[in-house]
Amino acid sequence: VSDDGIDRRGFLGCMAWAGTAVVVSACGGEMRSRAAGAAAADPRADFTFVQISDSHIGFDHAPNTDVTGTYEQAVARINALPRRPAFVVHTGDHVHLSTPDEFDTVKQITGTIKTDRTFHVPGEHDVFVDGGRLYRRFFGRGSHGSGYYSFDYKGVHFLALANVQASESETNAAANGLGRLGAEQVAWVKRDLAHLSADTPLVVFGHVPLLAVYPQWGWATADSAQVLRRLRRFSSVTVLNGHIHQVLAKREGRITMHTADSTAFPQHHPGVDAPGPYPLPAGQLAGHLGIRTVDFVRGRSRLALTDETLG
Amino acid sequence: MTVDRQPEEDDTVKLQLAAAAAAAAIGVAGFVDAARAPAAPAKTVKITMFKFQPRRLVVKPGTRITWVNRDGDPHTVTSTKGRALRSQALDTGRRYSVVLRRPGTYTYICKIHPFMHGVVVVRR
Repeated sequence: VSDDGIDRRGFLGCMAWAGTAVVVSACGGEMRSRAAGAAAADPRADFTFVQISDSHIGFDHAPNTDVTGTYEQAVARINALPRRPAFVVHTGDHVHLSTPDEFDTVKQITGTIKTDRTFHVPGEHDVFVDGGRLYRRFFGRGSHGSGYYSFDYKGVHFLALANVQASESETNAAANGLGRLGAEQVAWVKRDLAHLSADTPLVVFGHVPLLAVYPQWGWATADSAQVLRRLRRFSSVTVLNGHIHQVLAKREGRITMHTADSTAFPQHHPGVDAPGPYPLPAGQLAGHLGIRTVDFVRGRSRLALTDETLG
Repeated sequence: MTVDRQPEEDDTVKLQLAAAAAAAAIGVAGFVDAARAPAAPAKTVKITMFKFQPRRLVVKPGTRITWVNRDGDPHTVTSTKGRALRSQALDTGRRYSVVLRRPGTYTYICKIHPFMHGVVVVRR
């Protein structure tokens, strides 16, 4: 581990940068690739679900003046998948500035996805204006606290975590922009996992990376260690995060984290310039946006992830 | 709470009203030589590449300070102590203005990206 807290061996061992139409995710398990538009379902999969992230509805400048359009493209791509996803999870930053119109737009478009259910976790853009009040009204029904919950599907246990600063009192210089779960949620995770056997496959959703990517930019979760400790006894743990608008993977023991592309705009690679969008030549945007398909095959320790760009 | 889509905040409006009142007081004849009128001092802090530039600004009491967001991401100007600086989320191109009259050191952050730090020193 280098002095910036990043385990670069863990990084390089299983890292996949987006950038072409075919993206391969290979991290401690199955490696598969899929050309954009030429998708093929894994016939062995027990079920498939989709991750989308960082739609930022309301963002209206370079490199994407039509984030609604690109979100609709992402939805069209999901609806054209050869296997209908059992559900879709949106890992946060649904909107850019937390206005009611933005939330309404993203809710309506999300409602056109051909799937049985959509799940959501909050990003900081969903909560920083009003402490998450609108987010919870639109997407937080039935969740605990700032928007966390769990569910089971075909033998897999899913944890949906809310690790963005949801209230002004939590937002101070000491927090340094990192994601934060809070003591209440950490205690809930402990209770939620207590009854599960160690061979239960776990999938964890959240907005801010649970494993540190670049803490100087807030690309880490301050108090994730307490949750990671609870996850270590499980034989298969897949963490799916957003926030950093790029495909990247990192492994710590049996815990594997994958961050996802945005449907709105890409962000700089860790440590390069600043943690914001970067300019792109016209016509190249779609190649930097994407959706992720996840296949679960019973008996395999890892889920098979396929990241697919929109262009 | 809604996001302020106005180009400037309430503080600026108040300042403009004060300026109008001052202008009215200066010349009943209705003619003020702009070059000679004592302009209120003004300073600008640019927000770009997730940095406040300049990071440290030293001004005289009563200076009008305007932050303008030149980043693709929204930012805030938020005091780390007290409530002297408390902008709403400023989208790209939006501004926040404030007049600090009391001498002192005002440290602030962007509360969306709290690793962004700035300071205004008000001194006579």
